[in-house]
Amino acid sequence: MNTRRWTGAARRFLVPALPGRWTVAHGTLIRGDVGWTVQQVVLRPARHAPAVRLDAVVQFLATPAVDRYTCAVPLDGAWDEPASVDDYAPVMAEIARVVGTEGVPFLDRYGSLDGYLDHLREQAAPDPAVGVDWLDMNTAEELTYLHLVRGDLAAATDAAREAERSAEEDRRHAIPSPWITEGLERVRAVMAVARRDPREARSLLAGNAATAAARLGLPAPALDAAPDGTDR
Amino acid sequence: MAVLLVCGLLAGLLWANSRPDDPASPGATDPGLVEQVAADSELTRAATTLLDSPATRYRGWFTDAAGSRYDVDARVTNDGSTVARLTAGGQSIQVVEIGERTFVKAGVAYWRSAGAPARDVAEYARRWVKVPAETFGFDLGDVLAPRQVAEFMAPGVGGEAAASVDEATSRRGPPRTVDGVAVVPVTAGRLTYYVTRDEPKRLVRMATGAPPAGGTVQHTRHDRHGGGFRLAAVRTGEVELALTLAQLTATESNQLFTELKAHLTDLRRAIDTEVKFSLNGSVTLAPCTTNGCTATLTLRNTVSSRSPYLSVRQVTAEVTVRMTLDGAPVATCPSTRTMKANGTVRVSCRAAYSIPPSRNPRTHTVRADATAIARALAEADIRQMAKDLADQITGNRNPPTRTGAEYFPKGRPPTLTARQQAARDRVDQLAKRACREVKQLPGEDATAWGSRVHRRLAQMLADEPRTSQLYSEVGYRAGGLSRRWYNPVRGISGWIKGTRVPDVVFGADRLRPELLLDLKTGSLGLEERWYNELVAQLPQRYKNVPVLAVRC
Repeated sequence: MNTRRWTGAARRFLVPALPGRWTVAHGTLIRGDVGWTVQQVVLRPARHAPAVRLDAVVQFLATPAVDRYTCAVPLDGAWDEPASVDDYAPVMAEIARVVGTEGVPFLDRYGSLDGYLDHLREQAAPDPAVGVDWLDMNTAEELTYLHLVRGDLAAATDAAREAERSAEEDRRHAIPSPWITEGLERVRAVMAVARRDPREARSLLAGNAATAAARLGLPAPALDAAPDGTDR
Repeated sequence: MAVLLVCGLLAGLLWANSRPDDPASPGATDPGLVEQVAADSELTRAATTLLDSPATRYRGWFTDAAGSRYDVDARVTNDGSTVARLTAGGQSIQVVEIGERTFVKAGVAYWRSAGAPARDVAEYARRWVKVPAETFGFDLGDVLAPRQVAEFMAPGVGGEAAASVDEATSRRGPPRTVDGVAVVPVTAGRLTYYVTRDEPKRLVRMATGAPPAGGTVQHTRHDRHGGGFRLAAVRTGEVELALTLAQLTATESNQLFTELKAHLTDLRRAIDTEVKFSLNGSVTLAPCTTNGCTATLTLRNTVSSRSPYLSVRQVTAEVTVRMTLDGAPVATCPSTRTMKANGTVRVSCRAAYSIPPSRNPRTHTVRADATAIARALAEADIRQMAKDLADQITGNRNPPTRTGAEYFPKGRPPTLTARQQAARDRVDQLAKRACREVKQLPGEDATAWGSRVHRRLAQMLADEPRTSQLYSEVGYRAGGLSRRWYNPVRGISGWIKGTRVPDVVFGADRLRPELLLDLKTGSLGLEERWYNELVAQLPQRYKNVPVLAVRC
């Protein structure tokens, strides 16, 4: 797929057709401002499938691992890649419709910090199909950071405890996942700072957000003031 | 009689490929498709040879996104561990990459031009220094790992998912020679691969851009121009390169692994450029008398890595406190201290001196200052790197068996719910239809044909209603859905290294998979190594879901 052509066509046809403020960077559509979270519509990678398939994605930038996402919905539809920017016009009209009907409601629901907390709580809910009552490390790590951003050290401490448990569960698995250990190490480091000074931990997470935004080619995030109003 | 039989078989194949009543037939007589198949076949056969090679030597040059040019002589193991020497702007730079970590050893001039802190330059020049992986415009080990190159040449050849998302149309150029070897150039996307005409097919050169018009390609140039260094990682842009390849013999590969293991010893003292130190607060000088003085300083470290994999456990710092009395050195106290990432540590130094009574009373000035550098690796990192290397060596000695299984986890066949069984049956039906519809062309490699069948299956799955809860090609990485990664060499997007992609996912949500299915178009089954790698990337609570093979 020619990402440059897609980007040009998205700027020309898609952005003007979408409600609200959108920008395009490196093939990704970004809705509104970048803050602790970013609302995006991203091209879904695929080796064999039709070229244009999309996910609506909300990403919490305080977590430094930005090469994957966990809050997403696939938009219904798959399109072969048009041969020119001009030929994209009908495809983009259809994509604008799908983004409006499926993507925007998803982004509205989960795009804010409170919305992302809802997403994490849904992720944390037990799944009867797998029958486990512990949290996924990604969920535990993001919950820890999100509570710190919101100024809730007690809730962050609980989430960090879940991260410990998550890592313990994985150590017992026949095929341990290195990323789970890495996640736990990050949580421990951030919580060590938070116990000493929650504002410093928040500042650390703000640094993560700035780095994550840079890695994703996004503008620097505009971060809201801390709950006690003392920092940004 | 034998000739007649062969002719009869070929005629049958061509007839089967051109049945006009098969609307899904990909049009076997289309010259474009025939050329594509022939070009893919060249790439696939060379990729298979490359995949089986434990290590490869690359010589040539590349430019980074900023246009700085590097001559390179690199030996890279199949998994991407690298020992390389780069030359740019008259500077020689050694590079070692093991796992996710990249280290550089270079002289003072390099570190000055790279913007290293002035007071650390001399120390940097004495040691190995850990740098961001993309210091030279792209991650050498990632892009040059023979396993990765093979995957990009022939997606799926290694059973991995690191290959291109944006498949490029490949085409052959006129035969020519590279360093006296007869080759066929095959251009795919931004790269041209030069594949030997003789069997076994080998990749002997790869370069960005179309092949030159002439019939002979001279040995890769070693251009001495260009230069300039950047320590900071850059956002990847397109790079240019021209590299010749030579597969290392078993002896040479063993020697490379021995070198890598030997480097581990030196890397214990490597410096981490991504940790900075600052003096925190005032320096305490107490007690201080005419016979000596104790200085106590607090140092803070700041971790400034772009890497999401940075080890943030602890920082091991080599701290040196220097004290002077009236400008004259009176004490140097080196020490090694462990501190938390973004934390502080207190260091003390005691200077013993004697100020004779004849010089008193008057004011004397005692000063203390500290410098610190961070060690890049903790013992646990060294152990992990040693294990990574040992695994690679073991993998080379015992290449994965290519028989495979029909399902995982091992043991008794999984019991499926009625919904899961229905999903499996539906995918089975679609897979068989895809295999029927996509005809294998005369001379088409089985892997290339399998790739076309996979493409057809993915198209069919895209047409399935959302209620089917079937998803094609979901890329899992670290428990989430993998983003696209832009490969600056090929100029196209692909999966991020480490992503694992089963062909079909069944579940209410991609992050809550119930059943994973993988289409096998040949006689081989699911490989245990692939399964283990897939499980390691799955969402944590779903690591035990059944994985089944689907057959033509």
